Amino acid sequence: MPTVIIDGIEYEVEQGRNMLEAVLDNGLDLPYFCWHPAMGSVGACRLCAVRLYRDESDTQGKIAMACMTPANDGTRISIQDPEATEFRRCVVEWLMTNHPHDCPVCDEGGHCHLQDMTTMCGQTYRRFRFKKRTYTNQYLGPFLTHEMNRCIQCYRCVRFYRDLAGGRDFNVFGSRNRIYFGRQRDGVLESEFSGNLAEVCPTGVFTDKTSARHYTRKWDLRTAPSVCIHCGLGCNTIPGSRYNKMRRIEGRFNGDVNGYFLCDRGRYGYEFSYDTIRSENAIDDAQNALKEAKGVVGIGSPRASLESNYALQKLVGVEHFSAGLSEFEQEAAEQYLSVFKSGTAQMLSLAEVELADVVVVLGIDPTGEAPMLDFAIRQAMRKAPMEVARKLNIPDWDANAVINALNGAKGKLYIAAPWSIKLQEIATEAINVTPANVAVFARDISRGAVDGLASGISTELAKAKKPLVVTGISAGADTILAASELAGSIPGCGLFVTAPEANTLGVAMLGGQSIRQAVDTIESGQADTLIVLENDLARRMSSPAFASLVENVKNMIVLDCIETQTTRAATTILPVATFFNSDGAFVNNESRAQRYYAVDPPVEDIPAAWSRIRDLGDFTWAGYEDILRELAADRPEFAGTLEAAPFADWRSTANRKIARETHRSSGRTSKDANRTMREPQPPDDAQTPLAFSMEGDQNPPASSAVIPRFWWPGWNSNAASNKYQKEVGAELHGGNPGVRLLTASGSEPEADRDKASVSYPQPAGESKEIWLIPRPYIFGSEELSRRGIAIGELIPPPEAAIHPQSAQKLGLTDGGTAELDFDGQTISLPIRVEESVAVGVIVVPMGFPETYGVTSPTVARVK
Amino acid sequence: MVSILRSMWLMLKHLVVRPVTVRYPEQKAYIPPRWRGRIILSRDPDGCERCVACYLCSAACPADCISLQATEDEHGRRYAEWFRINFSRCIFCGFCEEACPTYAIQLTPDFEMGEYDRSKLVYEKEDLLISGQGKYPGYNFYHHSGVSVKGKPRGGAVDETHPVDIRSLLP
Repeated sequence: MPTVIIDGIEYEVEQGRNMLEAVLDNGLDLPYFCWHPAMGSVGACRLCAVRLYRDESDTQGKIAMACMTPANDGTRISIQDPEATEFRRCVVEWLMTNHPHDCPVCDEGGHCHLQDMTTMCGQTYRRFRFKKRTYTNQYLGPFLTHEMNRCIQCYRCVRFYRDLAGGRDFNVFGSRNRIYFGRQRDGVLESEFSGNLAEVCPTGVFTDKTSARHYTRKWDLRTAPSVCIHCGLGCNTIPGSRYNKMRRIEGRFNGDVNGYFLCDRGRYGYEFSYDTIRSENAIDDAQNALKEAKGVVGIGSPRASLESNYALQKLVGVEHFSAGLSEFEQEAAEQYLSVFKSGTAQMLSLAEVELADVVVVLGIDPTGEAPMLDFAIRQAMRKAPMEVARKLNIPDWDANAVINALNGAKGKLYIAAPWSIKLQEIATEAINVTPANVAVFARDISRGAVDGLASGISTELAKAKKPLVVTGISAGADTILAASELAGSIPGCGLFVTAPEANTLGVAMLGGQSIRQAVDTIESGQADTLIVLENDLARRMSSPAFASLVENVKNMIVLDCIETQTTRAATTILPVATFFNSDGAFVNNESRAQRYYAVDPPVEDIPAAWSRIRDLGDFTWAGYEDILRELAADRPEFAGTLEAAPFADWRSTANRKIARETHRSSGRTSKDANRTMREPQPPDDAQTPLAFSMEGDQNPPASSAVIPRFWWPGWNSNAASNKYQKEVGAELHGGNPGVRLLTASGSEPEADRDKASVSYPQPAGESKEIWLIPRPYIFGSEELSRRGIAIGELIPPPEAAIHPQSAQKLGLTDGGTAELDFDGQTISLPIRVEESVAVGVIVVPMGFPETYGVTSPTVARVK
Repeated sequence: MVSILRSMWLMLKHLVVRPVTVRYPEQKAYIPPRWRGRIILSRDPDGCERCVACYLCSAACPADCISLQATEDEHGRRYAEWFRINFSRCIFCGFCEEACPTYAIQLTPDFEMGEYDRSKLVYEKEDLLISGQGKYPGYNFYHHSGVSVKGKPRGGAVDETHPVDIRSLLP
């Protein structure tokens, strides 16, 4: 490890760092704007100026930018040098000549990197007496507010948006002091990661538009460590609330999962929490119904916590419990588990995906289903040819030099999917094939096809240093099996399988019947009562099957926080706390158990689902952790969930709980004064090691799983995360949170070919039959986020997409209406004829009310 | 004996000295304008609310007796959706006035706020908002800030140039 000398003191740093990183890694402060741990250095802002000395005898030195200085052994700098200090102050003073007098009305205020750095540089008074430059703003969609006057030209936004996120509709325009960051004309930003601009921008040019409707400063937010509920990747988040209402979500750094960033669905999906059910407490009705029941069936949910699902399984018994997945998902999830346990392929984490150099995507649409996987693959493609730059002695962090050296080179990306996915724009080759043919294609590659694309991919995979195969539960069991065979056939090849929902893998691991079997139990009369846990069954079975279930069941007890078709059909509704008002654990797609903590106490005494289930049965659990302990004792593969986060009796090094509110949280004696003068005691949180009030430890906790926010004296913005990391941009102190539950045992994957073939019913060859495939969209397909106000604006119109060839064969025309008959139900949608879908399929949006019942690829008859 | 006489003399002397007490409440004492009494929210010279709901007063308040909620109108002007001061907790320190970047919140020379019921000491925005500018006439925050609001277009503030033409190629 190189040793550098900073202000006369020796520090050890990692190999290949720059001096700014060296300074921050060692816990020292040095102001910066344009550098970002995920984006590297460009030396644009000139703020991290230090005095750099040649050697020990050099007393003169020179001013240099720390971020552009490699941290070689013996590098000698001074941060406190008076001239360097004055230089930095001057840089901020120049930036401030045009910065508007906006802080009171700016949403960035209170967590603004520019405020922090200005204070850190000691610049306090604007001496410049001349006029300020101004700009006009643009409409950028429902997620971001644009306020260009505040810009300090650090170029972070455009570097993030174009270089990292791969967006093309945002750029820098103009010349000299008219530099402008925006779009060519007003319009919604196309990138699925645009929300990160609000975090990446060191000042308030881009701010969260959803939070502006009910704006709260960071110091007033009540925050808790949480996990995103809107897909199966399990990105770490920090939701913030004020007056018991959700205000915004920011990313929580986890070096093994999402790093610094979030997708727009994860960031803006929180607005679903405004539209929850409140109904009479019907627990007595539910208890009576259970007493009189002739057999009870329980259906769990992949969007409910592991604890709630396990509690339901205990209540109804394993033989009467269903994981609540559709037939297709259940089968695919089981296949995935058996592949995982067999160890045929190395299962990668999301962070490891970014290290791959050749990627094969099989049968899924990462952008629609698990957007951060799209982001990770883009990073992999960007970093793959890095060797070229390294050969030229260009360090990885020297962002512009790397871009010039690579000259547009990218990693190799191959895609086989039923429609043109967005990643195709950076793909080396892509083909559109039917879901069944995706598996065939994968087998062609692994079995060494002699020519064609499959053979080319096979050669590239064999040459690759870090090959990777990506597929998902939504691609079906057979594709997962084929993908694992492919990954297994190449030494060192990784496999990444997405899961559609936050806890899909968790419920699949719990096991139980498929939803079909559960319904059969009811319909055959073996049971007459059904308990549904946070699950909309209408989304998971065809409409006639759902109608028949509703007709045949005597009592349907539904626990949910939102109104769905299932709650409307219920005989008894038990409202439960939303995700933001309850604690629990999710198991993400790579079997990482992660705990999330309630941001707010339950509203109006609506308890968490697990405690409702406890009241329905004869259980003595005092908290959700008791359920978790029982689960771990009962099922050893869940033992890791106990280590994923500290328990309720855990205390910080100062022997205190962790405070969810900041030490500056305001309004304590006033916020409830309209209701009561008694100043109610803050709600107690016996369930977790966190307190709902400001009373508790404000320091970074020793356990990274309970970091409620990133804050450090002088660092109010999220850049404070550098104080929580071992090395900036790397692992958190105490390790990245989450524990992977599954390990490879070396057993052969169970492959049931007959079963696999069931998942892809083949069209009988009849001229009017076609594959009907649900396509996940980032906005609209996920059940909770589509209820959000901002996301609701971006839900695409429901249309059925079909290839011109197929359209001609079936006599369908663009703009006409397709009536599709399948599983005894008919849906009708406007037709869009386009070449971007495979021949022989008709693609409809997944999870839209118009397409309920289309749960998996199926065969439909066109009327 | 001497002390008794001296006491008598003092007492008799006060029969002819003018009393210092005033006949409050009929007669009011002089309160200087910068007295820290009842808190108000003022308006700018255009008659619009000065408060931009920046939360600095509530953050500065040592008694934590100010709470509010920010929102914005269709033209981007920030204002307080609701604003509450619990005067039963207020210590009249004036930190809120000092923290206020827009001269919205001001302390006034009025101390006559006694109530029999504590809940009546909770003042909402309609109780706090006055129709005048208070102690600091003439200041309008939005005429110095870079954001545009109704009546102040982009670049229309004091010390601001017109918005630049980003398509200009002139050096």
